[in-house]
Amino acid sequence: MASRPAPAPKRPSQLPASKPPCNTHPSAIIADKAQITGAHAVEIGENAVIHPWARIRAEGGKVSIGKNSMVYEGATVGTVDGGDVLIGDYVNIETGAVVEAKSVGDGSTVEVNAVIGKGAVLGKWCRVAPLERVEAGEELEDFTVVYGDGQRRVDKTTKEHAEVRELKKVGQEKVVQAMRTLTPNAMAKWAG
Amino acid sequence: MAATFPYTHYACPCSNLTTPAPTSISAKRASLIPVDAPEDSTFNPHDPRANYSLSPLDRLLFCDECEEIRCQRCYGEEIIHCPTCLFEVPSSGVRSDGNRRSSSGEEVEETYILQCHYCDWSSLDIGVHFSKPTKITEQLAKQRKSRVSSRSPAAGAQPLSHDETFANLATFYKEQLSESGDPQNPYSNSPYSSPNNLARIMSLYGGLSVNALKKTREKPQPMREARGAKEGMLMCSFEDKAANDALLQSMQTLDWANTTTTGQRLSAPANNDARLVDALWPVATRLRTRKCRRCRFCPQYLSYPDPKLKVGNLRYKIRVLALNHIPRLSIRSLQTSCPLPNPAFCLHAADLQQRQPDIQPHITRQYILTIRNPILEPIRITLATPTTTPGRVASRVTILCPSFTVGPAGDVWDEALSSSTTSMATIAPGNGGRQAAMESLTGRGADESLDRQPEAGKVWERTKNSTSVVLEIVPGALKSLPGIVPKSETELEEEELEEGDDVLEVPIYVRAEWEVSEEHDDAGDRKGGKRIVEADGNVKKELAFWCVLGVGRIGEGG
Repeated sequence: MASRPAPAPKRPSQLPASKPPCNTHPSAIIADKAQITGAHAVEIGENAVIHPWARIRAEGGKVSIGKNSMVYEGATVGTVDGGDVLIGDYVNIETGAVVEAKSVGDGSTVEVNAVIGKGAVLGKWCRVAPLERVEAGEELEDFTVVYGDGQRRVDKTTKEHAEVRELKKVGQEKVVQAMRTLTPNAMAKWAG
Repeated sequence: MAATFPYTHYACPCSNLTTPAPTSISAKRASLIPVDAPEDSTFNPHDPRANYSLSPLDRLLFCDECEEIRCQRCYGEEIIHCPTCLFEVPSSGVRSDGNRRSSSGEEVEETYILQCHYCDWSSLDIGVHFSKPTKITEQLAKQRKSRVSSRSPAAGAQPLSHDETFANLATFYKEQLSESGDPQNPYSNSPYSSPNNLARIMSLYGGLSVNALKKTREKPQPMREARGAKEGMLMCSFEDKAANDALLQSMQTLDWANTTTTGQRLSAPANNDARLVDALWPVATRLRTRKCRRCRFCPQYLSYPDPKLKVGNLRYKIRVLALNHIPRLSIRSLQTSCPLPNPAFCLHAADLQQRQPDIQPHITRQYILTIRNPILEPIRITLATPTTTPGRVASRVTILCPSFTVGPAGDVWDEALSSSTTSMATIAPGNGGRQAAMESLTGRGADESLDRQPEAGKVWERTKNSTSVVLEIVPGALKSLPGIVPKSETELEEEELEEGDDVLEVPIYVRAEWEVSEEHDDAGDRKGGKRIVEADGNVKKELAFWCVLGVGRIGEGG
């Protein structure tokens, strides 16, 4: 569904040439220096925080970011030519990560400088340790941890204990709150 | 040998291959003057024994009492903190947890668990939680014991636990040692040192009872091994089919990642029998031994780490490195202007493998040899190298300027405040223009053309504490040219290249001389007397050593 980019107001130093149509929840925070490019739709959910220098590329397909999720500095979400990217709720895409996955399940964390290939599918509550790679097209079950040098394991604790999942959600909400106060909101630049 | 070129290895004067040169202040060492002068005995880096005396700079320490380089063979190590007997450990350090995995404060009705921040394992996986965040080792041990004991009544004829077996075996060995006679005591030669020996000698000369006489006639039994579970033998039996089958079954259903590695099994006695990952038990981090290093010849500390426990970074009370006391040499090719990537900074393994192009034989190449001076006085350097490199492949080496001075290392302020140095890299304060910026970038005057020629007898470049001179090297060929007369078998054999023969290594003898004013000469003071004080109150000092510059590999070509 490729829609024409909205006409950019004449502030050349700040706006990219093509601003995609953004459907952002009013409570989301998008930093001024974030970069959202592309022609496809971009959807940003409630309470989400997009940090400065985060890059959302809606060039290959639409990008959707769920509730209470965060995209940190230098992270890249979205493909150039590979299809849609859906980020679930309570997800953290940490600094420098590159996420081109088809979908990232709720509660997952993609840690610093990790790389998720095109079309991969991450289940819920997954965790990809720093500098790890998930190959293109790979599917990770729920509760998978990618660590070490490409090793995988199943996170039994989170899987079997509902209270741990609750705690993680509460923890994430607190972090999001803290980040909201720290990041000045420039949503007006990106909305509509 | 270093994997990447160029490298510099320094030879410690401790070996026969690198006898120290007779120096002007070595009158007391007259007995050590070698038979042939040092110029005749060149250091051959291809000698198979040379490897044992060469080390890169990061392995060398320096004794400032003896004023000599000390290599790994010349310093002894002593333990200052031993984890086994816990000498020097305050008891509070023992009880608190130095675990890698910190207990996360996930409180659910005041219970605590251990959790790994990296892979998300938690002690809930094995069903362990704690009532308080301190004394983790204690709580873990208690839970382990209760778990093991609750398992064993269920299994019937369960073999003894690991700890019991260990205790039995230790008792058994102690008995054997006392029964079969003591091995000789290494610390004393007295026949009365051990009570066993004493009893034996006394019983030789008049035992008081029949038993004593009998014992003297019997030969002592040789020490034997344990013979049953009571004595500590651990028996594997294939009879427990049910348990083995269950284990095999679970191994088939779970995957490889769920079985334990040998390293994991050996991490603790509790884990020796664990075949599956979910049977592993958490282990506390081991305490580490702290060692200090002392010069072997004078008992001076060369490296003394801070013995305080639980310091995140290892701090040193004393650390005397060769880095800070000897002139450092490095070599680079004159032709390439860009610096080669430092292997320590390579991010990908592929970059490290990138080999520099081989050096072509018979083509003269010029290299810049840089000497860096770490001490606070200016030094006079004299370099010497054999005309042709020793070894199978003879390359001709010429140093264009073998004798020069290097400035002192000092504070940055000294440089800024001093008005005139011969350095071309200092920026004259008033001249903030483009020329000064160019000078600082290229290290040369902007008006000099970039292809100036190296001249004999002249220094190439001089900065505040380093001087560079030019080396001309003509690499030799790996194979000698075919001659008219066919070679005999022995000659052909001699020409076989051994490994490492194609590496172009240049041995250089470096002598540094400098003067220290008398009151600053602490080491000379401590040695007492004997130093020669010049007329102007300075003491001459000298340091000389061999070092080997690895330049590159010689390729075929010729």
